[in-house]
Amino acid sequence: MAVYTGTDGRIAVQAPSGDLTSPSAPSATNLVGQVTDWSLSVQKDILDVTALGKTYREHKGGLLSWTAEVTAIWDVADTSLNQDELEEMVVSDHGGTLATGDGVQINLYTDYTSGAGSRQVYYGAALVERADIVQRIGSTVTVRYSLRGNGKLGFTSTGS
Amino acid sequence: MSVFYGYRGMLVAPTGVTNFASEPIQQVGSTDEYVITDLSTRMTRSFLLSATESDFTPSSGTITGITPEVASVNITGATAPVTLSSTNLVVATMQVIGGFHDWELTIEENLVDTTTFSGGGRVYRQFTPVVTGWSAVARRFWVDERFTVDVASTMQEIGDAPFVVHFILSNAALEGYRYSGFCTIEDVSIDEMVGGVTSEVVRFRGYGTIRFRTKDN
Repeated sequence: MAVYTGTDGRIAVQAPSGDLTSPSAPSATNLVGQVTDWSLSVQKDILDVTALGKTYREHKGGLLSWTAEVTAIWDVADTSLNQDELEEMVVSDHGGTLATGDGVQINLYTDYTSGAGSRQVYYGAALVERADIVQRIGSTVTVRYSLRGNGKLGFTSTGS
Repeated sequence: MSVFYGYRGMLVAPTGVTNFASEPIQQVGSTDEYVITDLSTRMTRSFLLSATESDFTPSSGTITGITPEVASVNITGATAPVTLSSTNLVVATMQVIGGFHDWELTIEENLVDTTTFSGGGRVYRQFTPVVTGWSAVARRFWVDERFTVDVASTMQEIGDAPFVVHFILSNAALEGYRYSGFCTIEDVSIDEMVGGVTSEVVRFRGYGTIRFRTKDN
């Protein structure tokens, strides 16, 4: 049984493929730096198809959707960290270049082993629905991006 | 790895109005945008919402636009060094608001579900961004009705006209990172508790764009 710890995780961004039903293969470049955690939630619409005469409710699965949250130690000004590629979608004057009207493709690695060809990654185009920048005495400045998936969420597992 | 300590933050808000009198400005990279040369001054200036291009006169070149939130102008055909003068008291002078110990800035984008028929197969919802808005919450230890002894107006006296607030992550000596935008006061609440410190929460509602700037712009 494989167990993946938090240190194995990463996030990368890339320009979306333009086809929201078939996102591009995830790239391990453009890692988003200083990320402290990420979460991914996938939801399926549940449709009530109970008909007259039934005793128990019956359901069918409908549309799928997904959301993600990324929390990082803030440093949008350092473009090598690629935080600006996310914030570009909601704040003017950033230099991010990957986002299109469909968002950016975000690649969420549960297992990222650089150079070993081993990857476990969820990926898809996403829009930033909300950004929270927090500055408090006694803490460092942090940022949390709430992302809404735009189209298909893919998963790929390569290597061993 | 870069971290920005919370205690270096500041909130800066308008306290008065003035005119530029040959204020030195500098070009941002190779763009047409010109900002106030002195960073400390730049971080304590903005234009009023009512400011227009005709209120400003550069020492050379032609003004083609203004960005009030960050007190910058767009100029074509200028020859360095460039200075900027203004009339009609549309330049806001700003000061640090005392007592604050944290702020949270939230930028939200309205996403409209634009999922269409797929003709079959598993389908994921698709969305289109529409309108972006922002708000902020800041907390301070209440001192008096004014922000600081140097601030002319109290929060409640500012009125209904949107004004610029700079949410500063680090001061001029530390790169001058800040978010700037017009806003109005949505709510002010004061809490007094036995055994506690009188505290105040101020909620801002953004009006228009929120901008991010550094020492370079």
